[in-house]
Amino acid sequence: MSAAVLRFAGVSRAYGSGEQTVHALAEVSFEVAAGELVAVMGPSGSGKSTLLALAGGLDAPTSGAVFMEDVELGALDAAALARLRRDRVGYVFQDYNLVTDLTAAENVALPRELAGVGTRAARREAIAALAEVGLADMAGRFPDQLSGGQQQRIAIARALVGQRRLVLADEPTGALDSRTSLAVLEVLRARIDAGAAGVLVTHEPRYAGWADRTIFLRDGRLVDATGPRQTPEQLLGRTA
Amino acid sequence: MTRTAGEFVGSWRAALRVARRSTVRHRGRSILIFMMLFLPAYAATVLVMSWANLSGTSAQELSFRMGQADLIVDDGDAARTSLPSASRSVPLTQGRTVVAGPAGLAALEYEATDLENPINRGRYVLRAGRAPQGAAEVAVTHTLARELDVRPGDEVVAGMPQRSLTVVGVVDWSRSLRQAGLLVSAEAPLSGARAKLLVKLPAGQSWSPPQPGGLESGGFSYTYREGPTAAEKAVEAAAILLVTTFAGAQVVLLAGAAFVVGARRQRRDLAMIAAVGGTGRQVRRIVLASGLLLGTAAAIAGAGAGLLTFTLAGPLIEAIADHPLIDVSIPFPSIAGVAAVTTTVGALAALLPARTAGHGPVRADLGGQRTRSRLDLAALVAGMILLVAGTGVLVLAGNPEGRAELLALGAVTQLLGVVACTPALVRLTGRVAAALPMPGRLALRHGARHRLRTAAAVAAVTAATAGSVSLAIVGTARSHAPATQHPTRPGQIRLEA
Repeated sequence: MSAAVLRFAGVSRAYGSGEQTVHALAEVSFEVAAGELVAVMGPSGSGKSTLLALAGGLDAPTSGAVFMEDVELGALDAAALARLRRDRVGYVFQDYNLVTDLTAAENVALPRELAGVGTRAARREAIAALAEVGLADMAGRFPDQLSGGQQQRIAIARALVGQRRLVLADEPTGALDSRTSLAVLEVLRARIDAGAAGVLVTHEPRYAGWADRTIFLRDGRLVDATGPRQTPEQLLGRTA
Repeated sequence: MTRTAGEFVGSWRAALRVARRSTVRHRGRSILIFMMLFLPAYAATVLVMSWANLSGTSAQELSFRMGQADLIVDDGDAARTSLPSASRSVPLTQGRTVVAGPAGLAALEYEATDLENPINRGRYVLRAGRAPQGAAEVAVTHTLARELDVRPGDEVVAGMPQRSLTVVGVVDWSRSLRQAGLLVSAEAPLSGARAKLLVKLPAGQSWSPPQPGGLESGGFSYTYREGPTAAEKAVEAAAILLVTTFAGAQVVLLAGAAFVVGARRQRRDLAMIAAVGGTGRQVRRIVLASGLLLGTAAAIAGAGAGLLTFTLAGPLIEAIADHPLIDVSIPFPSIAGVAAVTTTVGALAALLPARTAGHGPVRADLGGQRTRSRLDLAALVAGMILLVAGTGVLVLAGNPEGRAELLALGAVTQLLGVVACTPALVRLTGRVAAALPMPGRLALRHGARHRLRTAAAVAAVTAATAGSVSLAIVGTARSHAPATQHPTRPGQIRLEA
């Protein structure tokens, strides 16, 4: 396994002040290496989404530091963080993943166009990424013409188009049926195996089984972690 | 292309694409904003065309009265000897006569001149037939033709001594299309009125009236062609500034409220774009692109429709303006100005929503959560300063000797102050909601929660009310102004106390 793509070093995040302070994350440390998919599990309100937001630079830690390939995110300004997300980080959310006024191909090409890549070149990259997730023939469709599963696979294609090194997926199968969920996870796993690093937030132990290891959060604290390559059955046993 | 330039082009390309699709998808709102921008552009184009080709400018007014002449002087030796040697002239006699036609008698004005002389170009418009020639022909204005029920070929009796004249044409007088009058040839006036000369000076030469001591054969009166004075120009500039700014502010505020709604509904899309790597500036461009797109479309459509209307509705416009359209020209710089202002207004209307979208918290917007905005103290303070400054300027300039451009500046400054203060004031009103009955409480809280669009609408209504009240006060003051001219009989003079 190669060097860490994502590193949390004693990261805490608190909201509010005084007696109303809420500690969303407290002293969390972990790493994700290239080619590794880490699942994050925990009950609602345990800090999973906060962790993902911090990993993508959408939020800033109260203390500690988040590193992306040795670049501390806290040292970057808003524009630099946006460029980092555009060039190296891909997001997949539970739903509402695509820009409604853009076609599938344009959604996938969007980060590349924002980065200054020409329309045709960006579209070529987008079509190639769509072909990888088996949706090249849907390139001209708008999000409201696609099923939920198709939308998620397109979001994964967008999350990995270009030279993205890190995929952050927040409950990507939350709104999908089992069969579609498996198809989405297959695509995600394939891209991680191709060299990207990934963080998968999920409630479902069976989906966490697609990860190389799983970390558990409770009340903002990292309370447990599985070793590498746990089976879904093992995971189910630990979380029961 | 450098990375920064590529990002700039790429983000605008994506922004325009999203804006275009969003405009089509949300047709209702888009049409509303489009119409807000289109109608002023359309009206302004028609007004600009009318202004340039009818009575709007001093130069045009002069052409209606003086044709191409630089000077009108009483005809006589004193006047003729004072003119530069290469001057060209055409005689003009203006007087009153009684005319009898098939429908009865009428006492009216007549003019005797050479209609076809180039110096007269702009003074008349030939509607039918031809110019009168010799002592037995006459042309009538269309108003007189209607009053006397005559047409080319008919006979009328006019002049002193009376003579029979054949109507050979219908000729309107540019200075008033409602004028009922006769036009006869220069050599056959209908009365003994004193003749004048319309004089065209040689190119590049000016004329100065002779000193009274140098007049050996008697004096004469003259009218010299002069452009507007500096004071008139200043008043005109101030009026244009005031009207443009107030009308523009109205449109910016009302369209801005619609853009706020649009940006609010689009915020998850915008947050998604930010999440996949769009910078705040790139996100702002997407909202701004909507304003530019609609502004540009409205500018082109408004200017085009305005020009078309002016072309098709010529007779109606002539009737309203009471002047003919002669040598119609398109004032391209002014039309381009109208289009540019419309596009700018569209962009300005989208500017504040764009700024808000660019600064929005991505996490909250992605989750569809409401975010609490801070009371914009800086805007409140800036607004109060602008209000005080605008009021100060108005107090200083609000007197008979005050400069018009300062009054306009003061009014515009006050308007900007109101606009800047309103969001904070709207928010403050939310605090008294608890003391109100349910309907009022809901309305006030809703307004305060959506304070940007509420503030835009409130500021627009305030500006419209202020403008209307100002116009009403000016109108009332003018209608109550005492008469400053009192009639005197011939041979009397009146001395002011």
